[in-house]
Amino acid sequence: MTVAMDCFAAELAGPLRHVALAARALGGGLAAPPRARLPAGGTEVTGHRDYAPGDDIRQVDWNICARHDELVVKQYRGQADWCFYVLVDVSASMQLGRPPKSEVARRAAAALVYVALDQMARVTVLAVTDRVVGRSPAVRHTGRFATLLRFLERLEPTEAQTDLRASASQFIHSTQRPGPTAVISDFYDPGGFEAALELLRHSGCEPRPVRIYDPCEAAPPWLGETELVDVESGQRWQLVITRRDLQRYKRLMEEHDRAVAHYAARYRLRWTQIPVDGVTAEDVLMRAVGLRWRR
Amino acid sequence: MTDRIAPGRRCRWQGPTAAAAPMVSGQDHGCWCALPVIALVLVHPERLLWALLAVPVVVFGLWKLRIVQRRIATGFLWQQVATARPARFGLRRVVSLVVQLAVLLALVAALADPRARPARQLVVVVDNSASMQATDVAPSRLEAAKRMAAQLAAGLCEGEAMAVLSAGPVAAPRCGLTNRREVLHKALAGIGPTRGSAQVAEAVELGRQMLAGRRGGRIVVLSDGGFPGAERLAGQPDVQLIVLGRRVDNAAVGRLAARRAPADPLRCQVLVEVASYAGKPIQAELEVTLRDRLVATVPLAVEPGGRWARVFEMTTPVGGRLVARLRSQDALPADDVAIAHVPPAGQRHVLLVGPSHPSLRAALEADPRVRLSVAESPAADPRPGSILVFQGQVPEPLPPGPLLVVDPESGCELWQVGQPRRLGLVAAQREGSAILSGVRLEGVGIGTCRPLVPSPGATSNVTTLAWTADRVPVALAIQRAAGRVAVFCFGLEQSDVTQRPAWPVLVSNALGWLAEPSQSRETLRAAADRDQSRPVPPEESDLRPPPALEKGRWQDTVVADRAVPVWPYLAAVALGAAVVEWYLFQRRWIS
Repeated sequence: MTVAMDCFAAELAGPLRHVALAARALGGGLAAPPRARLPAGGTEVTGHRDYAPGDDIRQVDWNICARHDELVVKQYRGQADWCFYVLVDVSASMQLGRPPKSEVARRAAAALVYVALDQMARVTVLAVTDRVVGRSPAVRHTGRFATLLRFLERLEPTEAQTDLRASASQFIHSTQRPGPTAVISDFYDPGGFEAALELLRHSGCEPRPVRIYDPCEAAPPWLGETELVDVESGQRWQLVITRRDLQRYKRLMEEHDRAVAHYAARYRLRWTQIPVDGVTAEDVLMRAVGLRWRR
Repeated sequence: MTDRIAPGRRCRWQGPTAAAAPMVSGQDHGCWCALPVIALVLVHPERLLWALLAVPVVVFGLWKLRIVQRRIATGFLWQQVATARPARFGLRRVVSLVVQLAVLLALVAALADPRARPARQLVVVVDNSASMQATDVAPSRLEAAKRMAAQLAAGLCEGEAMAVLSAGPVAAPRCGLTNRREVLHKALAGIGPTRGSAQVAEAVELGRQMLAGRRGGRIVVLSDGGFPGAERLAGQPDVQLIVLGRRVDNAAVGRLAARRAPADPLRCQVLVEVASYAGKPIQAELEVTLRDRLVATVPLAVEPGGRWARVFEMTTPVGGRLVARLRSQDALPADDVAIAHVPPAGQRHVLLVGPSHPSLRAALEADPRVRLSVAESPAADPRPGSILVFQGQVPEPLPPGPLLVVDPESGCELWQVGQPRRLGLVAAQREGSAILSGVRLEGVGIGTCRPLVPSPGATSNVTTLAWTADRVPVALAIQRAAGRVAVFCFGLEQSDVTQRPAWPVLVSNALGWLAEPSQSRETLRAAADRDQSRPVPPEESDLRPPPALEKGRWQDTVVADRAVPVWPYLAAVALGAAVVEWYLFQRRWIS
């Protein structure tokens, strides 16, 4: 599945059109426009939807709430121009995996960008580690997809550590218009990913986690004398890994995975996860835009 | 015999000990419980070299060969795993290495086959008879026996002692009971080969006397079994007979003798006899040399168990070292050579000085060993070693060298001459005199004679050989520093001696006695030669040990005899330690 980036665009051209068509039928998937919380250009109520944190309390339809005992907000005709942001993790941990997680992350970012452009969004791609290390220009039309594609091609993993909260904070302070934000990362943040997502959520940037993971990383087949080297912190552990250690590690890893899923479910976030191995190139694109997304 | 061992006994490792023991016989009659010390000995000490495997084990253990470096992104999760470990995990490698070494050492110790046995008091009898020079055991049976004895000495434990005896022609103690190995090794080094028979029974009896009153005593006989009573000795309870060598064919020069023919001293007869101690016919070549000059070379064939003999005749006036050498490829070269001494023909140069009686001259000429010269004075024919014969006139002083004086008419520094008188018959003669050997002068008429009176300074060196009834000497033997002097004090014309057959014998005896000093020294040297190189006794040339010994009827090992093997316990310990080590440290490798 490893694909060189110099033929990145050529390879993605065909599949992306299929993905965009499929995503259009589903409303955009992970690159869908944000849920309208304000009447945008009209007062005609066109429907209702579930209440989401951040929605204006004034848009709650209290009559329906009284009848159905659940919070729903009113939706109006018309939609304003919207922004879509893609935060791509380029920390050192993204170097690992076969193929590297960064490779898959760029493909996923390309798919999201294309679909978002197809959904008439103003798309900006940001490279983050423990801070924002790169920012593409905002692009609004698919005709300028190549601009973002070149930016993605230039993205290379760095040796920096992951600090999603700091990155998110810097991103929020540098962004004037909030919008849905896809966070493409492995979410192996020693400080925890929740704070970053909380920050995005509270600032009106609906976080849409895209987790890139390596199955071997979740269940390493290592036993015996092993020296573990953390690629981000450089810390080393000389361990005699036993089956019990592996079981404990797997348990911790499962807890970490569950934490992402639980967080997304708790706040009804659109999210997806893509393994680096065992999936085709087209499948990566499909998963990236949430055509197999899970709630 | 009980195998109960009293608590508190000392136990220690000793090695190396005898590793390759051949046939061993005998039993232990000691009581284990009564012995104060239990010794651990190694049957195969050379296998301890396997302990060198500890080097790669340690090297690989310290090399951290199995450590693999893994790059991870989930360090914060592994951190939690690492902090949940018990603290002893840091010592796992060291503990594992130590246990592995313990397993290895236990296995190596088990391979060496340690045995526990009671302390011993050993008397080692080393057979150094002629047959022990056989080379069927490299380099020889004797060296193998000494090496084995040295191994026994090296294997002595605390509380044990060992004595060394040699059993050659004479049973001789080489050192008493001691635990000092350098003393034992020096005693063993002093044991050399001999050409005689093995007096093993005497040595064993001597060993018993040394062990009297000691517990754990045992006599170890290192021999080839080629001595009378070997089977009986092997059956004795306190004796272990270790039989060295194997059954091999041999041929030997069984007899060598040389003599001069009595009728013709120039003719020499040599008897050589070759004996076969083989189960098949032997073909060889016999070479006889005299004074390193080849006398004869004879090819010969001897039937199994047979003998081949031949008499060689040669004519030579010289004597010397006669060597009979058997050219054959057998296991015992020592008995392929025999040395004898051929006496010289005894040619004597005799100078008859001045006028003489015909009977004297005839007697001298009758002796085939005499080369007679006649001169007016000794200076006319000066030859070193010549016997000067004077009749009547005697020079004053006497010339040096051996002198035969007949009827002296004048005195000299050794005697004074009295007035002539008629003496009658010889009354008596000294028995055992070489000059009078085979001669009886008693009753022989002397006639007129000038009685001799020895000078006062020479009386102690004068021996009267025969005398008349009134004690007048008739024949004298005088020892002086310048040479012997024989004096016949009777006139040859008036005496009946010249008419007797004994006269030439008497003259010949006198010449022989006068020439005796140089011949005597040569004979002694020849005797010494004969003593060193006499033929090997037949029982020593027979390199076929008694069948009962050869079958290994009492096969055992001197080290392992009555010893309890310890290796099963060591192997069990090694197995247990290996299982524990695998369970604690290696189990995870097997999926």
